[in-house]
Amino acid sequence: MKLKLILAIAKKDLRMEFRAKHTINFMLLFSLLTIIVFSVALGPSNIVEEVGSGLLWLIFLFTGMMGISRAFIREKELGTLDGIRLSPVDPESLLVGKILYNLLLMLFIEALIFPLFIILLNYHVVGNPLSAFFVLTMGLFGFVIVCSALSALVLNARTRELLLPVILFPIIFPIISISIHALKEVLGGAGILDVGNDLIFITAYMVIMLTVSILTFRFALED
Amino acid sequence: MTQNMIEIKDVTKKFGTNTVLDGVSLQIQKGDSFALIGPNGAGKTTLVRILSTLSKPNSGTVLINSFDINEDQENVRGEIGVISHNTFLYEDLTAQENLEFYSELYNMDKDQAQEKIDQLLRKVNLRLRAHDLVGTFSRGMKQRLSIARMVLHDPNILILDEPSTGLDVKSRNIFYEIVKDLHSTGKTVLLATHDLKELEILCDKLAIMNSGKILLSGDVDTIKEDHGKSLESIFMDLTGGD
Repeated sequence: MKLKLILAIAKKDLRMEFRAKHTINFMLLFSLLTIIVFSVALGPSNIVEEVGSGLLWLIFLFTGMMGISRAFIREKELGTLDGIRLSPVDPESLLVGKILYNLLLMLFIEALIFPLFIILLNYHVVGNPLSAFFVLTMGLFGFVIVCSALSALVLNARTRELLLPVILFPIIFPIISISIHALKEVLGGAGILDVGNDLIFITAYMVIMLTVSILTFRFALED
Repeated sequence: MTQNMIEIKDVTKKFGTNTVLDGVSLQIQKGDSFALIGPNGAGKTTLVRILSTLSKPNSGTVLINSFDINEDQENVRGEIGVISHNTFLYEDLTAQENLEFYSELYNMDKDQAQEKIDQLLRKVNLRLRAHDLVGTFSRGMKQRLSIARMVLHDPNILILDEPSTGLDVKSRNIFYEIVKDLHSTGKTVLLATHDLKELEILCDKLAIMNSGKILLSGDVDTIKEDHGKSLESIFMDLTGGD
């Protein structure tokens, strides 16, 4: 695995995305519309603090699936995946480069959507918003790693866009449920250390999934 | 003794129960301009994908300049430059950015890559469009840029898989001139095509494939002389006019 290749792949994807905005506009629009729907549905009730972290994860789950899977699928559709495979790039660098791109893309979406969600749903944040942002980011990183790796695994399937959610949900469920719990706690006033066990679980899950992905990705690329 | 640049021994490839390549053996020597011809479904593209390390054979061995495609993929990829009807270019990047990206994948030194990119863009007559998005290019321009991408890392072997598909006559002729020019610098050329005219313009040796097998191979002029017929008649006789 080579850092130079990882950075080259992530840089190329970011440059293309922020130039053409094929994915990011849809991700932002979808997130915004969903926030508005939730805002209208919940009204001025005080259950926002009860269900808010779950709703926020729901937005990121669907937004993420919409955008993250495109990183590999777009290369496949354009035929450029073969262009990369023709060069002496090891599959592991390609995977980590794509994960890095997806992480940065998701971080950008999170930075815009998280404050909007708090404001538009009139969420009464007791804890430190930056801590909540950090906890959410940790969960999203785990989600991005799993989603990126799985989107590569289903690349050669004809029904890849339908198949991805089906195999993603069971695998990602542990991270989402723990992350929702931790986020709710931190927004409600708990400190980072109070949700330390949750964060350790998310980190361990992330490391395991990244290792498995790196070890298996080579086979996913073959004909 | 002439050096073998491509050595294919008894290669078989199956997709499920369908045998696409059936014991294919072939040798292509350094400096050859070799055409692989056959009707659609003959197995040309599958063989090209195996030579390009994009696919693995079920059995048999393939050596590219003595490197085994299964055991030494990184070196094989340094030896070959591939172009097909697919340009492998990003439409949302400029010509310059596309070549810069590929130079990074080939681990080229930044200054050296910049110099080479300038030189290649001039060679394929795209210097003035270097900073335009590839999405705004015509098909012919994209294919010329694709040639620059193919030779960026200075490969010894050029693999062309139906490269002129979709090109108009003018673009096709420019494309042929560039390929001939590259061949004259000592590069080995392997062209997979079903266009016999293209073969006669670019190649001096050929192998005719059908149903995953090599039916005939050798020097183009010798084959024509031995059979006393045009290449088209020989091709039609061997492939049953498929």
